[in-house]
Order: sequence, then structure tokens, then C-alpha cells
Amino acid sequence: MNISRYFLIILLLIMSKQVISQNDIDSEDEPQSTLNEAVSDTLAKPTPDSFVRIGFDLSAVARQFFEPEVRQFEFSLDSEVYYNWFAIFEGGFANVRATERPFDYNAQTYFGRIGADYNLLPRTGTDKNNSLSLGIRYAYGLSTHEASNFLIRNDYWGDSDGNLERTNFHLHWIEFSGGLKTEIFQNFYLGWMIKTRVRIFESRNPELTPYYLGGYGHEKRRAPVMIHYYILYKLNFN
Amino acid sequence: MCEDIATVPVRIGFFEDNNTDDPIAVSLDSLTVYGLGNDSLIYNNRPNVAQIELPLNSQQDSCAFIFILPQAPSEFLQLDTIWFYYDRKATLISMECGFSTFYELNDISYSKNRIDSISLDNLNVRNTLDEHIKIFPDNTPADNE
Repeated sequence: MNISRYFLIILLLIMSKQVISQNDIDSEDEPQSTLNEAVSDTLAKPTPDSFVRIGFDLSAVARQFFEPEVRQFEFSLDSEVYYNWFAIFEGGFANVRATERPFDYNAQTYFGRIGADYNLLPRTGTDKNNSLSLGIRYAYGLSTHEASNFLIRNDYWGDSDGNLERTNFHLHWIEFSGGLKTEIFQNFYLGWMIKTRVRIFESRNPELTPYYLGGYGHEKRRAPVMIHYYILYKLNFN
Repeated sequence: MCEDIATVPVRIGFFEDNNTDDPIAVSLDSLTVYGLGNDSLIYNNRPNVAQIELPLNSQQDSCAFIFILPQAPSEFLQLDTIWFYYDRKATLISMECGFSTFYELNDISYSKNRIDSISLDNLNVRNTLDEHIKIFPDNTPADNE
């Protein structure tokens, strides 16, 4: 687990350094603006780029190495709606299947998030497509789950076994995020994002607590902090 | 580790009411506790008891425990019975440890031979170290902590 943590930190540092280095190089190499360009820059109102960027969450796949019972697929779509403001939609699904255990547990979750990111980086030179953003999302997840053949140990009153039929569970939450997207080749991006989640509403399930909620994390955590890694491709419409 | 969380207990502390919001924790000279309908003793004349853990019955929505508190300096009965009423929720703790039961306490009732009062402080009995209930023994021959 420590090795994976160090790997994540190193990956974050490398990607952050790349963006900072590009900013430094661009400012050194950038030619002096002429008076006319300066005048036109101050008059021109920055306009948003016309594109849709499709992302795929790599960390959802990597999770299977640490927790093979949980399989999750997650994608993202974002587009610049105002200058430096990006509308975001994220969605996906997750399956939890207990295998090779003395009990059966199955769960499926479908989830979606909608929100916005704001880019903090100046958009000049060759790194103008990179972004360091803060964002907020509203999210909703619908889970169905069932459990059977499970044993609950109670040394004093006696053990009991149980079977619980398939039931639904709803969860609404708010996410706060911050992260970096770096263009590594033309229109191809790598990015990471740190997210924390705050529940705002959940349906009550009287008999069984969900184990893992796709898009949110383990049910027992009240405000989980998670790092996501993305690979993205930008479709330009200009 | 899985053994520790197999049964999630309700935690009970013993206190002396000093008419403030911060009652004083006390230790009972001795305590015996067993479940109603179960001959096995959970605490057998345990000395200097300040806090106890009791396993709720995961097969029913209520259970009761018999408390034998220290000998009172009078002819009062030593025995008290506390009933717990709760909802049960099966919870998958982890893939390795399997399932346990979490509880939400709805109510308690008790006799008042040696117990003056009981307060329910935390209704959710989960796999945490929280204390859920305070018992205020009546005229306890106890040592303040």
C-alpha cells in the first residue's frame, strides 16, 4: 500500500512540474508584444474554445488491483461554456461481487455528476490548453444490492445467518474538487483530481448497509477524499 | 482484527450525578452481569468497573441484562434489569471479515432497585469506541476516579 502511495505522489509531482516548467519556458521564449498587439489584446474579449473533451478514469481500473471485488467504469465530458469556466458531466457504473467468500454479496450502482470547473492558470503560449482547476459537482447514485448465506457471529447470544433480498439505495452528494490537466500530445491529456464528498441525502435501507457506492466510495466513510487519474481526448469544433 | 468486530457491543459507563452537564465517572466496587435467559456470565463479580461492553442480541429486536451491583448499605435489592429495544442492520464490514450487525437504539427500560437513572447518549451502536449509555447508580458505595 505504501508503494502505491509513493507512486501516486511521484506521478502527481511529475505532472505538476511539467506544467510549471512549460509556463517558465513559454514566458522566456515569448516574443515582446508590439504596441498594436497590446492594444488589440486589451480590446479583445476572451472567448471560450469550442470543444468537447472525453475522459476516462484510470484510477477506477487501478482499484481492481487493490480491491478485486469492486469493478468501476467512469467517464467524463467537459466543455468550456464561458472563458475559463468548464461545464462537467461525469457518469459511470460499478459492480461489487464477493467471490471466493463464505457469503454472497452483489451490488450494482449507476451514478452521475454534473457541475463546473474554473481554471486558475493563465492561458498563454504552448501550454494554454493546460488547466489547474477548482470545481464543484452535484452527484446522484442509485444502487441495488443483495446478500445471501451470510453469518453474523455472536458469541454470547448465538450466531445467526441471513439472506436479504435485492433492495434499492439512493444517495445524493456534493463534491468539491481540485486538479490538473496537462496536454501531453495534441488533443491528448493526462490529469489528476482530488475530490472530497459530502452527503446531502440518502434513502434508508432498514436491513442492509451498502458496502460500496459507485462514484462515492465505501459507505462507511462520511467524507471520503479520493484521487482520480484521467486520460482525456479533446474534440475540437473550430 | 476480524474477531474484534464480529460482535459490536453497546458501551455503558457508570457516573455520579452532580447536577451538572458533566457528571463524574465512578468505579463500582464489583459488578456481575448476565443476559436474561442466558446463564453465562458476561461479568463475574468484576472489581473496580467504570465501563462495560454488552453484546446485544442480533437475532431479536430487544434483549435484557441482569445487573448485580455492589451490596448496598441497606436492605435494598441488589438486582436490576435493563431492557434494550433497537433496530438491527446487517453490515458488510469488509470482504475479509464478513458481516456484523449495527444497531440503532430506540428505547431502554429498567428497574430502579440500585439504579437511580440512565441516559441514552448515543443511539447508534456501530464499530466505533463511542460510549452509548450512562448509568447513575443509586447510593453507590463507589470510588471516584
